[in-house]
Amino acid sequence: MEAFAQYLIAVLNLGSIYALLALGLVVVFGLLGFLNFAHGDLMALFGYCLLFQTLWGVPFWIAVPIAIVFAGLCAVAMERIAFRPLRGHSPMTLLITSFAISGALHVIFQITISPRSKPIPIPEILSGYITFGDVFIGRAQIFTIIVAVGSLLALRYFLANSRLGVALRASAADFDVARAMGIRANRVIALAFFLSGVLAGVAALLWISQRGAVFPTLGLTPMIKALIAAIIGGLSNPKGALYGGFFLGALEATLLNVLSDDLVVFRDAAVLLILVFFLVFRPNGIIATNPEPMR
Amino acid sequence: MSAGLTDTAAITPGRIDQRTRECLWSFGLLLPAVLIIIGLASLSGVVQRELLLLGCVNIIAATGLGLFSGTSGILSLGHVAFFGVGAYVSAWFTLPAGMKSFLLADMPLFIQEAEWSLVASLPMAVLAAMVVGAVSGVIIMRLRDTSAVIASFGLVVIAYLIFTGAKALTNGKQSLYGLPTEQATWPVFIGALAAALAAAYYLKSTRFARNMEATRDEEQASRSIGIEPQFHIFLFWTASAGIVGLAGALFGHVTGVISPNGFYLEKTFALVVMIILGGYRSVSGCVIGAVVITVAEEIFRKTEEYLGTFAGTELAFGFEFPLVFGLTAISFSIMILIILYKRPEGVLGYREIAAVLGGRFGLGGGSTDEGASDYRLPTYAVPRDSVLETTALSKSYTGLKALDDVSVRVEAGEIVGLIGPNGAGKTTFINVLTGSLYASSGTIRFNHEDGTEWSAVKLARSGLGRTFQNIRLFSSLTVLENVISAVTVRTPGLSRPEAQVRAMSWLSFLGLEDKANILSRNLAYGDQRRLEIARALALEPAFLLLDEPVAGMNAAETEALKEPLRQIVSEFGIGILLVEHDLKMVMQLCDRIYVLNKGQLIAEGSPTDVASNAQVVEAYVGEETDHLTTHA
Repeated sequence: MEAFAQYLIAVLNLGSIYALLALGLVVVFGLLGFLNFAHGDLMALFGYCLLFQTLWGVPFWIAVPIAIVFAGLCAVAMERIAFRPLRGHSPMTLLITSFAISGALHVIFQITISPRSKPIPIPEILSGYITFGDVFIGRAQIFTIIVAVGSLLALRYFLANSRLGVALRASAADFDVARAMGIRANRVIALAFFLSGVLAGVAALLWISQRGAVFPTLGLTPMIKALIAAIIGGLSNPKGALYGGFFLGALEATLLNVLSDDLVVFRDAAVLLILVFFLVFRPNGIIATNPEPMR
Repeated sequence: MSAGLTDTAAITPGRIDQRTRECLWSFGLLLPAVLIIIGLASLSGVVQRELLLLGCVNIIAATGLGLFSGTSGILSLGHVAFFGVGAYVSAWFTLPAGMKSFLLADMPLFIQEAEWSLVASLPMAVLAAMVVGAVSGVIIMRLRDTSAVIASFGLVVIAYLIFTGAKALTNGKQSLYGLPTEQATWPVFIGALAAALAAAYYLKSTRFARNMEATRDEEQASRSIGIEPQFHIFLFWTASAGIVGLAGALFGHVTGVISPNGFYLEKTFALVVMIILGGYRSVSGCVIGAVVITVAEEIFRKTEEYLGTFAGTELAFGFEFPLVFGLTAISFSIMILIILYKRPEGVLGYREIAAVLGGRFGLGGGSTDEGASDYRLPTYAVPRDSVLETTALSKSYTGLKALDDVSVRVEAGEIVGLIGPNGAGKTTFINVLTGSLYASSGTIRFNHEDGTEWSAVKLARSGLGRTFQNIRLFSSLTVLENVISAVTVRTPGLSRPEAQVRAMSWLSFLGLEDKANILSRNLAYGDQRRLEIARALALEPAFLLLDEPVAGMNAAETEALKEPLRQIVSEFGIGILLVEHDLKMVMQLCDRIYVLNKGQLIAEGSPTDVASNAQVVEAYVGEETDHLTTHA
């Protein structure tokens, strides 16, 4: 029973981080039809922004929202500088572009900041455990679940009820028609990138609060997993990102429990392998764009 | 973009077909060119031998990667994994036994004791890479576009994690060193280079490459002529894995050291930039890219070393000059960006070197068009009792019956029309009939066999040809190749020149023989429509489904199409199902007509019967009144 509760918490914890990441990818995909490979680097950008603020003495809880907004703005800048000149090109071109951007950012971090891992002081309140009977739960895990659920609800509210949110959904459904209705393309795209950056920032906050450090390729492994999870979930629908994210979380938590100690080095490889393998069954996602299988 | 060679040269039904000739010439030009460059560089004494060997490695790797990415259109980020597999597997066999006893102490005894030559280890490396390729290919072949690219990158990450983690096989991050670099001799490398290029060009000259390119351009159309996309993706993925594995094996014996980091992001960037610089759709482009990038990489590395000597020195205001590394990686990233912004097609675009030079100097192209008028249509006859029949076919979506109980029968040797106002369900009917959608109920019988669940590929191979309402040609293939692709599916046993001649006959049948060498996307609209028909006919189908064949054609073009259609019916006994908005044409051509409205058949019979049918008139004319009343 305790073991199961602990497992469940682990699933929720990992799943909600991956869901946030996948959601950020899907928000952009829904509009422009490509997966932003540099999404993971927004996590690193958040981390470095947080790092420098704490080095300059900004209190953690003030630095966090600033860093999240910073990640959002970086995403907007990325679109403005790198993707806008290529608008209208094939998704493949945009994907490779984002791949190149990601590579360039890694090196920029390496040269200008440090190739090594930099510790970020995490507030006392997020470390340690709470016990419920025999169940130990990390405070950071509880924090993660609360923040993730809060963000998801906020996003949902925003998309459902705000003018901008509706504009975004309309554009994702049919960009051409939305533009014909007077929705400004550049604005909506900027908004989508900002949202995806914010989501990456929140995910990075949760990721870093459990690991306490930032390094240039911080976002790479979680992002590639989230990418495949998003595809498995289905790219056409934000719900697909949630399914994919939590599926990934469950998979990873299970492997953590199942793999013996000497095999733990292969955990990420196994997670990816299983994810890629799942693509065979769900090449179009759990929520498929075309609900009808090909004959 | 102009079509280069293919604009001017004419087709000869000679000893060799166009595609093979282009590949042979490209191979014949490229290999000596590369060897001359290497020879000159080597003689000049400026360039180190190691760099030249690495150049060979890069060319082989880029050729392999380009072979897959170019033909399939899927830019793989995953081939570095095969590069690594090749490197490790060959190292297992060539490392001196003394080194293995402490680097790879947990390996089985026969590997521990093996001290093979590099040449002997190469087949093992290629084989291992192809096995890994085949396993991953089963997954990749089901994916397209973005998903395939992401999955291929997943493969690199997986491989990296395994290379790092599986210390027993790779010695992890401590790397394998002491590989016998003295075995990296010119005969081995040049032999491997020639073999890799030959393999790539051989594959490119086959119908498989044409089929793959057809699928890349227009998958639905390629399925409609019986090309199975998955098989081709698998084939090229696996073959290219072998070539890249070969490169990896050679690589280890140039550097003497292999470690997981050598097969990760930086190498991926290097390979990607190589193939997109030259234009990854042609093998020649990949070779050129590899040469350029090998030089560039060396320059970047030298610069980095030079800048490294300044590291730590104070510049001004207490800022230290940073330790610059990763300059190569960032330069590659920036090069990728610049190429994608300025010339996303790369230097050569789709064209092989022979085609580029051929356009300019008449190299590699065909000579004269001797005997060009000697095109005879194949003699085939559709069995007279052939029938294509749907029985009570229905298709419903939630709350909507798009097709309701539609029974249509087309026999060999007749032209049957299917008409109906917009929204009548014609498109749904076609999609169900041609294997794009599942029927909700009812059956499709094809020559008395149950074809209700058949895929588009199976239907095509069983004798259903089709055209598309919105034209779907293989846009980067020539007019001729569009048709050859169908010919080789129909009769795989034909020799290449024979297939080419047969395709020419179909083209001349539809009056397109003068345009055989134009890229199909450069054809005029009416010609594109006719080319679609020619391509479908090249399947030698029993039934031909024409989806609005004269939409957008002018009166003269429409008129000109009637005769060939009548002719294929009388000559081959093909049964035609004509779905068309041009009522005049339908009335003139068809033996029988079905009228569909709101998903149901409302009339069937001879043109005169249908024209006078009150329900039909109401469906067409009443559409307007209906419209008015509901919106009043």
